[in-house]
Amino acid sequence: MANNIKDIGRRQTLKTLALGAGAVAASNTLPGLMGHTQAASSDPIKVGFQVHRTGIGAAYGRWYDRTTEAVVARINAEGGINGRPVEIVAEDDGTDPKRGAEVVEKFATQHSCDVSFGTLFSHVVYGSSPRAGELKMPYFVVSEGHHVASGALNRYTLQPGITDVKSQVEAMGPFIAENLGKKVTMIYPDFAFGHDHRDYFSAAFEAQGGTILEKIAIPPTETSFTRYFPKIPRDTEVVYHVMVGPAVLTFVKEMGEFFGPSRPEIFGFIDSLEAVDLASPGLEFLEGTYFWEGNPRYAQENNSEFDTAFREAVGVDNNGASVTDAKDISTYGHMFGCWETMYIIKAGMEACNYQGPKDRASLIEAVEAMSDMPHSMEHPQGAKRFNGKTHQTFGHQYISQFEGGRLNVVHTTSIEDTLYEDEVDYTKQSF
Amino acid sequence: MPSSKAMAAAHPNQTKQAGYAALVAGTLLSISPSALAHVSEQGFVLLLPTQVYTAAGIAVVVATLVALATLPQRAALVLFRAKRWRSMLTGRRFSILISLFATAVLLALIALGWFGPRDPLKNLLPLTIWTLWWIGIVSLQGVFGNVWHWLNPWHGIAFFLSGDNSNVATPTRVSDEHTQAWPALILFVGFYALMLADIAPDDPARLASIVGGYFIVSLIGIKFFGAYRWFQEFDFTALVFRLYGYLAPLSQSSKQTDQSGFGLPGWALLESPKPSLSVSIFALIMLGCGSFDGINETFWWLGIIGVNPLDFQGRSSIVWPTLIGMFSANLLLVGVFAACVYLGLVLAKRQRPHTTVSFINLFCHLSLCLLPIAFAYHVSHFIASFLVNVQYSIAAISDPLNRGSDWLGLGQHYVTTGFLNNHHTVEILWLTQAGIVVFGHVLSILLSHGIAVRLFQHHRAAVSSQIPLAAFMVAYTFLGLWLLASPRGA
Repeated sequence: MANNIKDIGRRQTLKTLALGAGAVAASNTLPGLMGHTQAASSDPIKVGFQVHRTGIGAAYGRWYDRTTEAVVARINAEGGINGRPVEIVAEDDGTDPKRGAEVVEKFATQHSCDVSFGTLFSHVVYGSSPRAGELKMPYFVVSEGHHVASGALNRYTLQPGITDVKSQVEAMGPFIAENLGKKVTMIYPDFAFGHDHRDYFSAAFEAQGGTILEKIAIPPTETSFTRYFPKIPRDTEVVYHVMVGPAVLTFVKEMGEFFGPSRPEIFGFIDSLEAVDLASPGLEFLEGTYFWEGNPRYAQENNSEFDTAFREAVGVDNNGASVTDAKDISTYGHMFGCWETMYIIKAGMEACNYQGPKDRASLIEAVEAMSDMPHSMEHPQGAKRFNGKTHQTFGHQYISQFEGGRLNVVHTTSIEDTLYEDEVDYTKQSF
Repeated sequence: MPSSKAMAAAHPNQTKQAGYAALVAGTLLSISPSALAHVSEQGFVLLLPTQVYTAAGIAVVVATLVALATLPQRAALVLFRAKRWRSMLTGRRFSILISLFATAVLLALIALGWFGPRDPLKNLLPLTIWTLWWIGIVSLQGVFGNVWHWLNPWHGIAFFLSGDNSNVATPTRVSDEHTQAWPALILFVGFYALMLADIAPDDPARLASIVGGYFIVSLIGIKFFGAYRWFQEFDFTALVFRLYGYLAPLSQSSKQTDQSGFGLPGWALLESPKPSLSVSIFALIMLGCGSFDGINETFWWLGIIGVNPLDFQGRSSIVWPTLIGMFSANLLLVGVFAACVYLGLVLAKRQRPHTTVSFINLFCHLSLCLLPIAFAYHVSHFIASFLVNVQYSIAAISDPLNRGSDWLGLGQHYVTTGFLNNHHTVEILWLTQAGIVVFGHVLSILLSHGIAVRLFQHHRAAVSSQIPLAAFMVAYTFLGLWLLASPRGA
């Protein structure tokens, strides 16, 4: 094993390897893995990591990179995939779709990668996926976009490690209707992102017998919101907000000033405040309000051993901040997707005894054959149910309440709450 | 499976783009322009009383203008009197050795670009070029002067290539009006176009080809034109550094140039000969490009080119708007500046009808007075990126091949952007940036006034000549502070 570790992951730092190995040792969930024997070929499995290093996705890219390094170190410490070490080839896509396509091509033609992985921003996924299909390069995205399950992409594109926005938003309807109120006013930015929330949520909420009183669309360039708040009907029981952009803190502050001590219930998405310190001025108004979280930023009282080990491996403390800087808040609600996706790649490759690029189609089929994935070290965010036809995974969603400057989970949806009818069957597409 | 309402099939504009929050939380982890959008701290900046700070900054600039109009004629010149000394450094052999070392480092970096880590934040070539060199060393040049004279990677090779010792020493000062630098101007515009509009200026291999190509072209140029002409007329890097070197409070030159001294930043500029028209425009373009580098990230600019700032689709979607904007901004700046100079001359001639100062003379002299603003923009604009990327640079120096080595003994090294995610530190950073911008404008005003006094030899004529430029400076101060305070989205 010592020799095995020595050979693997040449692009991984020894320090991270040590952390990964430590995490393995700390976990009791991996019996027998340390006794792995090396396969005949010790050439690394090359994973092309399409990472948003620059551009507007860079904040996410930093944490996706950190998570990916940690999970690869851990997988390598466990013996790699099919006895072969995993090597990450990270290429910056500039959070740009055209560059994204170039990067996928580089993975296939220059770096001889086995698979590509890691894209977050939807427009980059859209720009890259067609090229991945043409090159017959498995493309595992970690994007949350509904693009995969919508049928807009191709058989080579999969999203097995993170749930999509449609299931997230729709799963909020029952909780809000049952616990917060039946009359909702929505405030959202006036473009596609906000429109998705408007459409998905209003449909799901009305199916629960609720009413959308008002839909307040805010122009994307707006930086002051005081003139919009009077549009909120007086009988509003819940304000549903999904504001994003640099003016979010201003939005929260002005909303607090508008409502004062008597406010309706307020529900938002953590996307608005991902990687933002919740102790920031103005955010105290959020006390008592609710957020959807992809993965709870704050370690909970009954925290799972898997989440604890995940935090340790990535270097994140119990508040979701870097262990070396309490003000450096991670993108905790999203980055677990890299971890889980990498383990799914591993599981898929082991299931089809992946040997090289000729087995790429077999790898796709192996992943398509997956279904339930238990809450485990491979899936620290929670159990998943993968839909091989739509190439999209489904999982638990978390609803947290802002209390005393932190987020406490008050409700966890079932996987069933998040399901919706298939819109595509990729397995019918040829390779 | 529970049925939801039938949803329209998603298309690119109908999906959640999970990373939108990066516009709040994001940080720029690269020097490439889109990455320079300092979005992470923008949420906090919008909560600061930036209007009050901006008013205070403008008040300082206006107060400077009023003081100069009322103080005695020589006041500005006295401020820039430097403590001078005769340099004992000959430095030629030493500087050649240092330069050869810099050459070796550059070649190693180019090799790293081609064969090293693909991640631009783990590859020392992009980190060195865009962070350590373009931010770090350029900033040092403006403080200590002559830094590039020592680190220029062509200087040492030039000694062997040109075969003419008199051509070897890289000029540490801009030479007189007979030295034109139009080729350098074109190359500089190309350099900025690469930085602002190219789809992947950070890509290690792409950058290695560009830097390597420029390295070879420089060697050919040095051989063909001689080192002196190459560094004076063609090499834009040398010209940028020479111009910013003017601003250094401390100048330690070689024995030959004998310009060692210490004084108020910009003192050396007042002692310089009149530059050529091309060098003058070069100085203006330095400011124009730097200004546009800030403008192009703002909600305001994105609105003009029809881009939703919360839905930025990447640099490839705005290549032409960026290029057109950059050229337009520079044309506008040169045009407005020329108009101010012309109008100032008209006003001055009312006070002193028989002055021999010509428009071109005044234009060329005064253009260099904008260098402090350009330098202030440079430092202020890049400071946050530098603070982040220098952490990556240290990690990359410790592990240049990204193979797990740790030459510097860093241990587990996590890059942090926490200081951009905290109200207190963001306020300190913003005020620092604003202070640098205001100081740059004050220096420009002082220098401009000093040059006017020297040229017109008549206080009222000098003051009159500065009235249009004073308005220009006040407006530019507002622009600079507005850029710092504006929401950005690209």
